[in-house]
Amino acid sequence: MTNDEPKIVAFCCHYCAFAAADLAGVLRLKYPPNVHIIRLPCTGKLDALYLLKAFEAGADGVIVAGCLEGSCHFISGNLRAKKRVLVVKSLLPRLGIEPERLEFFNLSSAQGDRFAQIAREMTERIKSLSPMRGEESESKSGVDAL
Amino acid sequence: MIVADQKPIEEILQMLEPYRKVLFLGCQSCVAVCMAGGEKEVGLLAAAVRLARKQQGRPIEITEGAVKRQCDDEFNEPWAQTIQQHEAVLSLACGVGVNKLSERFDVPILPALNTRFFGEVERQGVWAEVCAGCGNCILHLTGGICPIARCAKNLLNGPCGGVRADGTCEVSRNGPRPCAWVMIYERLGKLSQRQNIENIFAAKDWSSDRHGGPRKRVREDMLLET
Amino acid sequence: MSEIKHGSVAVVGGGIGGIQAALDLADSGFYVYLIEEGPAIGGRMAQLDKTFPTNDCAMCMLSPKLVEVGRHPNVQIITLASVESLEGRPGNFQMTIRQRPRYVDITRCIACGRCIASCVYQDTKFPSEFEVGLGKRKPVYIPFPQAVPLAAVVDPQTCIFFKSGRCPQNCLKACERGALDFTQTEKLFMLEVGAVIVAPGFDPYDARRVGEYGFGRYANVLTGPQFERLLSASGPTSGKVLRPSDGKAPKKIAFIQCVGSRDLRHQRYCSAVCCMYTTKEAIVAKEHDHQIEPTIFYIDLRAYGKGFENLVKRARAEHGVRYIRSMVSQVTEIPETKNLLIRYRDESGSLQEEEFDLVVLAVGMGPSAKGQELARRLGIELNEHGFAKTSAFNPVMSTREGVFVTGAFTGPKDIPETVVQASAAAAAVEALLAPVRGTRTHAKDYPEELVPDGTPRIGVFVCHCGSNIAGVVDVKSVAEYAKTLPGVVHAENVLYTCSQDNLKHMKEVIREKRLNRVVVASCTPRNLAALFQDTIREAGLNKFLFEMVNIREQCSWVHSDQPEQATEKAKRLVRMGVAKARELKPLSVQSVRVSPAALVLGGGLSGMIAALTLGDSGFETHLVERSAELGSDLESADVQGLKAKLLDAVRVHPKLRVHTNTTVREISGFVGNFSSVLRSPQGEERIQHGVVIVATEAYEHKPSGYLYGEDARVLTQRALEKALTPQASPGLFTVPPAAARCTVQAEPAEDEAHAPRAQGRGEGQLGKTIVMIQCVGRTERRPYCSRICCAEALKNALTLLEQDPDRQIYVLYREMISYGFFEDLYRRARDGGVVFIRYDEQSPPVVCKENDQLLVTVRDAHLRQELVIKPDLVVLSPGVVPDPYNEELSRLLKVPLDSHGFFVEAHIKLRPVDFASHGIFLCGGSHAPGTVPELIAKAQAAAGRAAIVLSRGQLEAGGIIASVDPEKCTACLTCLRECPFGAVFINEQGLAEIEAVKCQGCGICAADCPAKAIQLGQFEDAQELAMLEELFRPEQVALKALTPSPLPRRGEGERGRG
Repeated sequence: MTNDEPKIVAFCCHYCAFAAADLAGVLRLKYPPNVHIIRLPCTGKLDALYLLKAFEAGADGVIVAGCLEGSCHFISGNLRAKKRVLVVKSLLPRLGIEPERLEFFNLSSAQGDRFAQIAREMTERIKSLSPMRGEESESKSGVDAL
Repeated sequence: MIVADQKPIEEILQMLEPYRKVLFLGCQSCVAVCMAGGEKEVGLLAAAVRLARKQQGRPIEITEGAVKRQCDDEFNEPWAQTIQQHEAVLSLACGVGVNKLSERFDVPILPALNTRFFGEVERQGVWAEVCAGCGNCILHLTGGICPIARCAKNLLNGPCGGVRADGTCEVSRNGPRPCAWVMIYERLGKLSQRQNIENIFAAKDWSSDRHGGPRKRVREDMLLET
Repeated sequence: MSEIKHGSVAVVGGGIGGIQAALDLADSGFYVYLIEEGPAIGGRMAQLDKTFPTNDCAMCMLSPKLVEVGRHPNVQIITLASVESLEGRPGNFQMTIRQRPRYVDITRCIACGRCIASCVYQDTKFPSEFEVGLGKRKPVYIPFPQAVPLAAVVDPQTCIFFKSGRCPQNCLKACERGALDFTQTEKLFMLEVGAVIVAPGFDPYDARRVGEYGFGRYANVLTGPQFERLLSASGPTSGKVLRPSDGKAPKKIAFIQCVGSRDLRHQRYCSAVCCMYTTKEAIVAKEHDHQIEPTIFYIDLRAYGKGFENLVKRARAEHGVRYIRSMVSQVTEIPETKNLLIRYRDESGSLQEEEFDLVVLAVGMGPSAKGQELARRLGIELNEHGFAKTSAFNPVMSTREGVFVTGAFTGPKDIPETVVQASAAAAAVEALLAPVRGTRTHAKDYPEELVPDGTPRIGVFVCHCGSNIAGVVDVKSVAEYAKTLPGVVHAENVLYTCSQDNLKHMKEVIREKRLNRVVVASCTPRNLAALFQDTIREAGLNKFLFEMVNIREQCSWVHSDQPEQATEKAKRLVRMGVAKARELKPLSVQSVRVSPAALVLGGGLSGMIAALTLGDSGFETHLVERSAELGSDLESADVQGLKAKLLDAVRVHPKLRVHTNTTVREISGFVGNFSSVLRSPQGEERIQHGVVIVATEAYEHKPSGYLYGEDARVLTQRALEKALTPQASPGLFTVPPAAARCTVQAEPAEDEAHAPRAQGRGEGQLGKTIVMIQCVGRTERRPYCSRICCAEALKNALTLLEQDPDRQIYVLYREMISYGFFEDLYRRARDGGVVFIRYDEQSPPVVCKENDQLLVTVRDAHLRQELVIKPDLVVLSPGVVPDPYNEELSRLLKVPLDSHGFFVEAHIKLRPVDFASHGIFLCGGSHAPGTVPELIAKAQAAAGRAAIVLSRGQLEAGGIIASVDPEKCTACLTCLRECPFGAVFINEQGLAEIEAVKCQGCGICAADCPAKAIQLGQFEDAQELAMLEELFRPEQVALKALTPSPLPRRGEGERGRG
């Protein structure tokens, strides 16, 4: 990383949040370049593990954004994701990580401005926290160890 | 199925305190089904522990794995070499798995779970205790509802005076629960076996329960040694 | 049948109706010309923010459809085009099209917006059509961000070059693609089509014509469609509700209903949608800004559709929307504040004046001016209101054979009804053109798929997108960087990755360098991923060995102020994409054969129509009815002709097999391959079929109280209808019967008992004074509006008056639901002297008897007085209830019922006749109550949707779906319990398995599997985690060694195994 801005990963569902992020681009809205989007077919695919792994990989903040409630393309994926995020959010402080670093949002595909706003706000929010401790992860998962 | 809970992360971190290289070994049987110690939980717990230790400035190296059933040596054996390469093993199996690994390996085997009870799946995400494993089953007399497990007082001749007007038990650890004996009464009615309720159970012989010391079961015909 | 020549269809009008019809036809073997008057398809729905009653985002639903129709190989979109003439006969039409110049070559334009930025007009100056005048645009513009085709257009009316000829034409120079072309001219050409579907939609009523409300004069008076744009996150205020006069947030907003509707000076009919769209707008406004206090002025609150009543309840209770039943006589502006003063008579009758910050006029749906011109050119007739003329029994058929009409062109209606009619019209076309199905469409041939072997060999193509990306991101250094990544054997920067010449180049590189993975770093995968996937497939690669990195919408366009950072980000994104590409696996798509037969459950009106439509399209159809006879729901006099015709047609149809006295014992299988056991007194029979249509009807509820069943002079509307002498068919206003059929024997029997007695009285003996009571028994338990009862009562009242003009008829009602053209009946009844008395939900009328004289006591909600009427006859409208058999069907088919026993469709707006479970469709009163024409359209639509499956012969299954590793599965049942699509089953080994055809690829199961036994193709954990690990990897850390391994590899499954 070549700058000191907080590093953020945003898990976005294909149908709504990812489309909203695209719309932010179409509208040429600005947000910090350290927000990186990973596309999921649905936030229902979001494994709680991805959230922890994102922090392990070095993220300072994680955004999960799914469809508006009741509008999930896959009926209930966003509701499942919301619960998983809540569980991890309650776990984080017990690991010494501020829960504010993780947030779940509901977005419609028309909310390009909201996406940009979230990206800016999360960046600001994380900047206001003291930096995460720890060096780059030394240990790797079992694949490497074995 | 055996139902277990993951220990609080704080307790697990404390257990792991002395170690820098640990194998997290899950079990893909009961505890996977009750979402406490399957491969998914191994991944989550390992990531959480790594993160916490990194935050503490004391990184830990974790190897992740899961075996089909930790209560069988044969499933554990392929892990022998790996286990010996680690300072400790955090077992995400039930207590049986922890014991089994400890019998076999000279490495500290740490329990990640609190083993709770034999349970049924009430619905997705909810497990309930319905059998106590007392070793002396009377379910045929009680309409298939076990008073040992499901009556807070393990009464054989219930209900007691602690049943409320709405049929719930005065002991309500996890919220109001129906009185087991009211359930038995109603169930026997449905089965036209209400006369069973008239039977007075003699004092139970608890020697078949764990109160009689550790239990063992042997099936002679299945023994391979001659 | 030699006349039926062309397997192609012209769909005129690119709104949601036209799009749906085009997709249905193209998906079932017909080539479609989608002809749109404007520069982009999408129609009115594209302008909506949310849709009632679920308040779903309109664009979220529409945009995927736009992309789908835009990419469909069997749909050709022709924009800026109008129909000149139509010659010929059904099956063999010649349509002449006039296409205006766009001045932009859409094959070159990439919608980058440089032409717009460079236009001599510095500022947007001209009112934007899309923003209904609230926003502005330049002479060169992109209609809206999600437009299809996504390309700029030049408006010659406002462009200086066309007006004066003197313009530096900056746009021409700014365009890097040479897409602008001012030499384009108007084109006239001919299309040969077998049939035509006309869907030009409606025009919102011009609020200027309702002078008393001051629209056009007062800045803060807006129309509903304009307010919709204010609410839209992508609208002119980015979703902030602001007053046009001063840009301030309004607090008090007044919504005025029936602007131009139900008004003899304007449009006589009711526009059918305004009550609901206003309720939605009020709620959404309140959600956007909690300070807002919405007030709705209305005459009758017509919440008659599925879920509507509930939305109104929520508006009142949860959002504090104030509803005032009053006609607003005038709106005046207070010049100083630009606030608006509204004068109205409140419900107690006293005159009120109230000040508001903003006024929104609920303008109705007027007949489309272009539609009227179109009708003339097509030679089809219009009705008295200026909408397309149709027959009651064929609601999508115009007066010219082979030309079908749908949507708001046939009368005011909402989105689902439009979609229903679109699918119905498509079905009618399919039946007409069945002999030439598949003659104009073509399937693409691909080379044999290469078997991927060995190490990943990745090719990375970094797109400049002209200067869209390259103007910000140093694409050359990104490509250079990509070359250093493990697994990458080729990387280059390309001017336009999507251009035809590059696609050709890409295929060559794949062959030359034996690439087995391709990464394209360009724009959003939502638009072009399918194009690139198709390209690599043409080069012999499995299309899933592709990853797209978005460095335009999600990088250069949002970080143009920080080019260096943007370049670094682009590198990180490419690194992630390459990391995922290394882990990609080919996914297979299998073909599943379709049993080309249909099972239709329910032999009422809807079932017969659906079966006949399918039969006419050439598909064998089993029509199953529980009772002994078909059509027993068709009882009233005015549908006897229809019933006889349908029964005849069903009897002789060579493709239909009728099973009466038959129930379904078992249904197994899935879309394309169902297997069912039918049980009848003759025994059991197993049938194979590809689709199921549930077509059970609803029937009149049996009322209790009101002396019903105790006094023969108290009867239901249905019984009255039977007692009335048959009249000439009232045509469009035919109201359905909603009969008690098949299931509950006791109730109809009692009904029968009533009817003859009433009949026995003879028409003269029905009495002079008649009271009709609406909404009988509509209580908490059955709170929904039955939709049809008001029109039924009106029709019967008019018949009674025709027989004896001296009769005194009272209609006691809660809300008069005479939506659409039924308003004419309401007016005629009022003119004819029928007395309408409104009562409150809380104080329903009471019927009692005094010395054999019937007495009806009602509290008039308007006069606030108790009235006593002494009628000779009391007629009850008890509403309709769904067939109780639905519960069994719901269990058998695993399809959902709502709390009232009606079936729940897949999507209330865009999939109204589909169940969420693929291959199962619904129509009939058990989906929702409806009039005969509405039920017919729904039945045709369900048949049309089903025909898409049947016409294919083969279904594709696989690709991005979940699969279970049997080695790891512990059969915990989590996946089975939580799959929203019922795609998981426990196989013979006792392990979970996923039915490929049913899996929609959401990944919920994969994320929750406690044994990590499930992976979702293209989104496997190994792939996702690889992206995460690479994203923030510092440059100095050595890259993970890449071990060659044969493909396909075992994925996560191997992790940590000893």
